[in-house]
Amino acid sequence: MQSPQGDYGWLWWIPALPLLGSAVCALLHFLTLRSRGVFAPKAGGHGHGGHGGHDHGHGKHGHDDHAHDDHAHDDHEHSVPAGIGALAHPIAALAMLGAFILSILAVKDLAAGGEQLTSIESSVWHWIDTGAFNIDISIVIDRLSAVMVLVVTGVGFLIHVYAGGYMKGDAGFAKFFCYLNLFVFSMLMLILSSSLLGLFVGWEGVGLCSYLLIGFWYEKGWPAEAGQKAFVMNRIGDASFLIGSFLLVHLFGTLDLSDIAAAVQGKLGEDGVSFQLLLAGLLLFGGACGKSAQLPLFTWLPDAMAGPTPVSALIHAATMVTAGIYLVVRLNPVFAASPELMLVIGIVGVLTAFVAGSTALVQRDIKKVLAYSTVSQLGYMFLALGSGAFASAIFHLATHAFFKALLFLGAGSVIHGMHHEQDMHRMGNLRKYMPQTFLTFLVGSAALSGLPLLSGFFSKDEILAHTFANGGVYYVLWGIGLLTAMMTAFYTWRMVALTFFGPERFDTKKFQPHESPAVMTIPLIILAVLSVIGGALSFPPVFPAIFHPEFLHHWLHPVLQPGEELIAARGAHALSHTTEWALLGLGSVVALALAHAGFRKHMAGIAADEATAARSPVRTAFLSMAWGLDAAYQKLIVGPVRLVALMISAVIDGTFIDGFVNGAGEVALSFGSRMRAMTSGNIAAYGLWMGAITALIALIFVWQR
Amino acid sequence: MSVPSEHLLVLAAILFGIGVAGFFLRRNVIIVLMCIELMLNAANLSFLAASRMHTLANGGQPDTQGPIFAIFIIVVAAIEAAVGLALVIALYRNKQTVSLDEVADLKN
Repeated sequence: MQSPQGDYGWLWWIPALPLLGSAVCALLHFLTLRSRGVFAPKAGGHGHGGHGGHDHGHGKHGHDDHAHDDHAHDDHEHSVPAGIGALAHPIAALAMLGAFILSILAVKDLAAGGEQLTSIESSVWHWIDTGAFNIDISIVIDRLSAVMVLVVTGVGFLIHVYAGGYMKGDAGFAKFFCYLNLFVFSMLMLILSSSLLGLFVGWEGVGLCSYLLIGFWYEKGWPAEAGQKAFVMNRIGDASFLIGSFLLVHLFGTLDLSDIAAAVQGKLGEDGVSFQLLLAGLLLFGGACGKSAQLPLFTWLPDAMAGPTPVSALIHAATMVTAGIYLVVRLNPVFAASPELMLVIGIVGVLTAFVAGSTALVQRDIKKVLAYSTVSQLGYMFLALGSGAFASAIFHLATHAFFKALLFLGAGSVIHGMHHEQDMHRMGNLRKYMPQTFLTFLVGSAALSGLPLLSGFFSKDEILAHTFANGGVYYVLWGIGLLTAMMTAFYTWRMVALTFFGPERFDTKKFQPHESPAVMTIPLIILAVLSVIGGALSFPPVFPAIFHPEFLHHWLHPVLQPGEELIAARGAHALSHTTEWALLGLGSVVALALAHAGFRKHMAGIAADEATAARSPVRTAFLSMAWGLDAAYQKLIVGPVRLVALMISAVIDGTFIDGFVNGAGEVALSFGSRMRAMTSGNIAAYGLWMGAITALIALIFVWQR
Repeated sequence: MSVPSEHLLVLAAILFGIGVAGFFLRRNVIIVLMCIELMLNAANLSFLAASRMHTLANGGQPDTQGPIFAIFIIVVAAIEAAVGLALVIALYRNKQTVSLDEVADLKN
């Protein structure tokens, strides 16, 4: 590893800036609360009175009693003057902009170094130093983290800008940006750490921040529960991740990511290593399943929609859910070492894509459609990983970050304009009221559904082509993937039709939807441009050389080399140009056809939905509750676990633990009450005891001689 | 040599026995303290007797350990007597008695 030291001492500023922003926002939140008199004694009354409360009602959940005897949260109907807290938005956004600019500078240097310069890094401090086992906290940018860091800081910055408009007037304005910046900091730690332990710190950090952000409107109750669900589901994956990394330490004696990646091939020949490696990979993949919302752990992500919409965009587009993909790509030789593991990853990915895609078909909540769509697209990325197309996964990750952030923010704009209505059945014809949102949303939808020449088309097609090239069982995976692509096009354009076309299904006399302010639409426009041109990152290999086909693949080559060599050793797959063209054509045709079908069917309104629900109510219900997974978990896992917990609390805790603890107390008590008789008050008796025992001890000493 | 060392030891044992008997049988605090003093001095005597025996066995080379121990015990005994008598005075001021049987407030 060649890594010039010293010159890049400033690299740690990339994660440090959001952390700093987070700290400043926390301070601002504190000041805001103080100015509202939160800390003042209640009896004295507080200056200008405490306002607060949230106008972010969600239809039915609206302003049910928040049950707060809390002083600052008298439930006023409308927004609070942000006061000094309003500064949080520019500060947080500037921190992100700074991180983005620094990332660009770093990546520029990395690119200028050519193939020889594998990474630039700066060591921040030695964390663990035990002689044989050392862990440095150092910030490393190689070609993989370069892509990630640009996506995270770039898209993150746009979301920060947008959030300032979306969260305007919220009582926790500064707090929100505090969490948001902390989230980005954790994600940057995750992707920039040189060691698996540093990665794990970021891994846990994003878990924590997602919990905080999903439950941001905790007064409403259900967001708090959704936050807990996300946290617990992630914990399951995290435990698996931890055990996997222990195994890696056992195998390689180091947690340094690049060292592990370099060492895998040499280790493979040794006895029993391949099985342990398979186990480690499986466990790490379990962790990735939790974080990246794959079967069987994906159910937290749709619930995570309880958070504010910018959070959904941040979690589902730029950060967090990409962590699992990043992990697999980062440690690609560990996974590539066993074809069985690759197949498992591919199967899990494609099944997730299919299940989530079919669920998205019948959702009514616009954010739920996008949430299931995200799960489905993440499934695609895992399908790519399972097919050994690591670069394609990163490609789809990047394009998905663009268009899914765009779609979420667009949906946020719709929800904002509709006064917090999320049900698409109560929207319609919004193109008349919010043209900018409509146009950008259209671009995002086209990209998501894979309409030709948009970014999503190229990335999705690359994945399917690679899957097809693997042959054998992978033909089946390819088939399911293609089916999912069809569903994707269908539900995306159903969403567009229901939201922006057809008659208005809300009371136009009561309120008029309004276009969002520029602070929200400008990020939308930038993301829309990125969604269109994002495909340029990696054109199909059949394109003329002038387009730099498979640019991303060449760019990532130094990182992917160890894994790809392992795969190539088992026999290379390549597609002929004719097949490539045929697959591209097939992709375009099905995407266009299904997009057209979805749009046509729902353009007139909700009649088509109602007809489907009436025709096959069971299937609709089955799909709308995500194949009943939540209910199944409730029955098969939560119920039994509760039962076991109850038994443990009754039997083990009640009988054994309590018995032991109380028994110890009782023994001491009864011993004490017997000993009491000895204190007779007779000095002579005390003397006798003392003498007798002294004599006994003396005797023992003599006897031991 | 006039008195054999064994006689000194016997005397020490007798003194110690008197001290023990007094300690166990008497109820007057002052007497009990005096009996403790008696036991300590019996110990002193046995130390000195043993020292004398060592000196004789080593051909007249004086043994120092025994006398040093005796001096330590004398010091400790003096302190003990001072503290003990102070306690007796405090006790008498509070209870107007020096009988041990009547001072059993912490019994059981």
